[in-house]
Amino acid sequence: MENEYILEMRHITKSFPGVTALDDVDLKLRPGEVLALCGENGAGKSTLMKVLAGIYQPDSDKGEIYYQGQRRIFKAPVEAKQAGIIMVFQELSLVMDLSVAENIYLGSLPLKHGRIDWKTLYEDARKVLAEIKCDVDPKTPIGSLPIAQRQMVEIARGIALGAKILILDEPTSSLTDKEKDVFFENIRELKQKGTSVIYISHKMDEIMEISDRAMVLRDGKASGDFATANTTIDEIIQCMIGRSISNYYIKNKAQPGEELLRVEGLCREGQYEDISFSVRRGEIVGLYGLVGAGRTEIVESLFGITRPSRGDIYYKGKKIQIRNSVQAVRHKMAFVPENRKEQGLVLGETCRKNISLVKLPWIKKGGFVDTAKTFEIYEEYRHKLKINAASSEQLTAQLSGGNQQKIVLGKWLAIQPDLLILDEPTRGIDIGAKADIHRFISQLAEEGMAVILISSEMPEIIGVSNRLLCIRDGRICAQLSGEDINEQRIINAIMNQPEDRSNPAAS
Amino acid sequence: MSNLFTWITEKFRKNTIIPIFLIVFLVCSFFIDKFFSLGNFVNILGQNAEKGILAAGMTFVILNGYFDLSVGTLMGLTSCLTVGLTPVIGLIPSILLALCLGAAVGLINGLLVTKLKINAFIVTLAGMTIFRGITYMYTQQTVRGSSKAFYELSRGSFLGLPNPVWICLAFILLGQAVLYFTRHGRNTYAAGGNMSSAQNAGINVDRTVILNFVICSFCAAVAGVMYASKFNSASPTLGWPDAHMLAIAAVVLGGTKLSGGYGNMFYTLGGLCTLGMINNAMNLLKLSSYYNTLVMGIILIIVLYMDIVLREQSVPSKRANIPGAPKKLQKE
Amino acid sequence: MSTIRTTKIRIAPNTTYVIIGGNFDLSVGSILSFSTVLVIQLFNIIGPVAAMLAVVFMGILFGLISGLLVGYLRLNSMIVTLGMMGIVQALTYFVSGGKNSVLKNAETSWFLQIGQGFVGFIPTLVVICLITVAIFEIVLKRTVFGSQLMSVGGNQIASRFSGVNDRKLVTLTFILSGMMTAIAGIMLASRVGSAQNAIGEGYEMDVIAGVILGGASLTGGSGSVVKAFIGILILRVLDNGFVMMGLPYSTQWLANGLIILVVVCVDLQSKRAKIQGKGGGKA
Repeated sequence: MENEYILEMRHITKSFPGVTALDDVDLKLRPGEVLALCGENGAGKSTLMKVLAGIYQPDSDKGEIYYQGQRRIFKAPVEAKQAGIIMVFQELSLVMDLSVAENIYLGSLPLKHGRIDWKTLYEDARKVLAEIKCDVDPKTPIGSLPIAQRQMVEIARGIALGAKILILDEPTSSLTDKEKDVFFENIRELKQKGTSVIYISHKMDEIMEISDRAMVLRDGKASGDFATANTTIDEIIQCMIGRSISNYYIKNKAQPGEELLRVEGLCREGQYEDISFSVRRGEIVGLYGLVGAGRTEIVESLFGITRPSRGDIYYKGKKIQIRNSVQAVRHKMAFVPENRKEQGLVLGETCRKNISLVKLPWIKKGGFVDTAKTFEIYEEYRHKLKINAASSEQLTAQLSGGNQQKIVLGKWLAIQPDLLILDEPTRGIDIGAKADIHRFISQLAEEGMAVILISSEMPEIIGVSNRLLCIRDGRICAQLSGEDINEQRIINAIMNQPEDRSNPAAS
Repeated sequence: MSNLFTWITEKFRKNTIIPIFLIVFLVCSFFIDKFFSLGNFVNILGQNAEKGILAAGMTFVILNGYFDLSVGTLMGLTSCLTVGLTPVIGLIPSILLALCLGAAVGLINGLLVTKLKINAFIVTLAGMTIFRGITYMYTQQTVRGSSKAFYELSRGSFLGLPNPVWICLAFILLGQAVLYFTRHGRNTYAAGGNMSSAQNAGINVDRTVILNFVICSFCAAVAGVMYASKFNSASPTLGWPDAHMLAIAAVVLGGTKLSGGYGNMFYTLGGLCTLGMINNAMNLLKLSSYYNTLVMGIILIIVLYMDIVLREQSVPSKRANIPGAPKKLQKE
Repeated sequence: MSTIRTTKIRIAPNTTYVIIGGNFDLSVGSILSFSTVLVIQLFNIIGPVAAMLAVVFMGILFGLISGLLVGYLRLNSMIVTLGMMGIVQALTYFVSGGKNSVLKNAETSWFLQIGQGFVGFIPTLVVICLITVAIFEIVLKRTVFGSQLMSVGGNQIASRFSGVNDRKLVTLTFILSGMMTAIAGIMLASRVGSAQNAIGEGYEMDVIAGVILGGASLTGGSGSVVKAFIGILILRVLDNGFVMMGLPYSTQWLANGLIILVVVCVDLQSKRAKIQGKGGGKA
């Protein structure tokens, strides 16, 4: 029977102890189609894909998977892979010390007379890499390649394994705009060859650009199915969260006060150079740049994680030197780092202990820790930030990404900082929590806090910043404020293109 | 000419054991007479053949991201059993029994680590004390060997090198062949480098780990048998207290990463020879054997330090650079 | 009572701290040997007070070296302390000249009171021991230092980003370890009056076993001094039981090994059950 669908998932239900992740979900996919899978964090997107990829099994006999017209059961990832269903994970699954070729063919190295056939391996790898226009020597160890190229290798692996369905989970989170374009080109070529792609992403504009259809999950249930050409971003978002996001970004209306931080001529070998700027109270200064431009390195030096080789830092008018985070905290600085799981939280500890970690030296009662105070802190910020956790004693490892980030934020707000540095605070977080965090940041600025915000998402940084620094290759290439904060100016600055004076406010 | 120089420097940087070996060799040769002689070199090799097999087996486990602390006492146990059971069931059956015991121990270690998910440190630490207990339960003092033929085996030599050295070399070459040419070898690197990636790629990581533990314990058993042959006797103190330390030191000194995923047999061979030279040098200088541990301790620490410093220079940091960025902002 | 006099208990609190911080100190055995031998040697030359001070100083020094290497250079603690173990062991032989060390003319010295005296009915050593355990436990559970140590063990990087001087804390655990082990050596010398060079051999493994038995996580971030104390107590009682039954030392080793395995196994299973129970897998 000729079926127009290469894949049909019917009535998929998947539960874990205490929570139903998927509830009677249907999914259809045609050959050569790009299907976007949208939904808030915890809506079930990853779970659904893991069921498809054989990592999970659907509950009992209710759920069915029809692949290429036949009923299939994938009991292990290997089975799904052999059938041509390949999942490329959000956390890159490469082995750093091995070569590109070995990574592409990981687990399925070619044999000749029972021995590894290295010659064929390298040749095959070269061919696949050429297909996606990636010119990397297959013999190089993956660890020495930049992230973007590593991602390409992951894709190459999918192709090499003869993927008929490629599942991509947030694939562009580490790519520059140019790399993203090349990436989309590759996807279009894959489409031509009949490969289907399921594309999980939070980035609405990308979804509109690359997908043919968009399917929405909400709270584990299928909530909508759209042909991308016939719908709008707002429609999809409404389907995701059940409400419309107007006034998506709220710019704060604060009047900037006195200067809090001034940086002059900051340099660090190989990372950034000649960095000079200032931040005032009540002001949100955005740092925009491509991945790898050096923004995180700059703020890490501000906070004492690393030390600049040259330059001066003035804080509240006085020249200071910050050698570690302990000193930074004493100056009432706060830093919400990029990677909340590795740098922001002690996952094995409770919410309460995490949220009171920085404040610890100040909540003493007679030489000992005032435990009652730690409960108070948790309650205060649970309320203010709308943190959704079972209790103060729940392990942070079990929270969703958005809630984890809120705990990190709460931890820092607890010391009532004067300067708050945020590094990609809403990366990988669902729309609802994103809006919460933005609103909160604006509120903080209005209350007099100085904020430095690092983001690679242009709409976010345009929407929230009062002033914007564009960073390219470790240098400030533009300082914009007010009306000048728009896409055109930013892109010009980053791409180092001559300004089009006749059309100054084009967006 | 400068190309050759750059090539050499690169090789030295990537394979740190080469400069280490050379430095030790040169220092010993210049400052200690009687060091630089064929007889002495043969002597060094002969002294370290058994330890080499131990280190070879350990290499597999360390590449996989684990380590095995029980090899020392297991070696003692198999040694005693080989000698002790020979009068009872014959030489060959005793040897076979010892080897099988080695493999079985490895199997158990592997199962405990993979299926029950117990930390390898604990499993092999427990193993270390358990084997010591069993050994002493079997015999409290040195067991005298009874087979002349067995004794002759390790006394013989081929092309000037004692037989045990050839056996050791065979193990090293065979081990390297496995690492480079077999699926299991590549799986070992993959699993050691990034276990979840390897798992997701369909590699049976559990089976890989178990097999590596079997190899390691098997090698320990072989070493035990060889010691039995060498001394024609076996003492329950063989392998205690720090045979495992020596094996790990040889592997790590050679350049294999303790975290797994990087390294090879030749590195281990280099590390082994270097430690052997140092040991030999101390003997020639008539330094008390107690200083053995002193030197090994210092070496371990230095190696560790160099590992961090040199390794971080050749693999750039996590934050990738944009291709085409101005030269001076790029990491070397 | 005699069980509590065991030296291993005196090394437990500091070892617990090191393990909670996410590291291992394999050099405690040899530091113990060194301290016991040195205090006796020095006692015979310069008297008790100077000897004790010198020994404690050396213990702190060893701990400082290990601590700096692990805390600031971030070297692998297992290998570093394995190395230190070898170095200190060698130094022990050097100090003793290869022979056993024996206290001379000590009968009238107050030094022996530490190891052999009584406070009422209870041996002084036991009193010191219990007080130490109590202090270490309170500091761990109730002070800022203790909480920060737990978080360093749980995630060192996140702690560093959160206003905690992780490197200093780790170094401190090693310094404490060296110091307390040195003091334990002094107490041992005081009790027994003599020392062989390898007196501390193998102690580190046994103490670690007891600490793990007491529920500390191998990767750091959790543990309790009191429970470690109980863990070692249990192991010692078992060992004594074997001795009383007339079984040879080898049985002890065998049993110790098996017990460690079983306990860790059970502990892991229960930990896994706890995580499964609370809120299942997140998509």
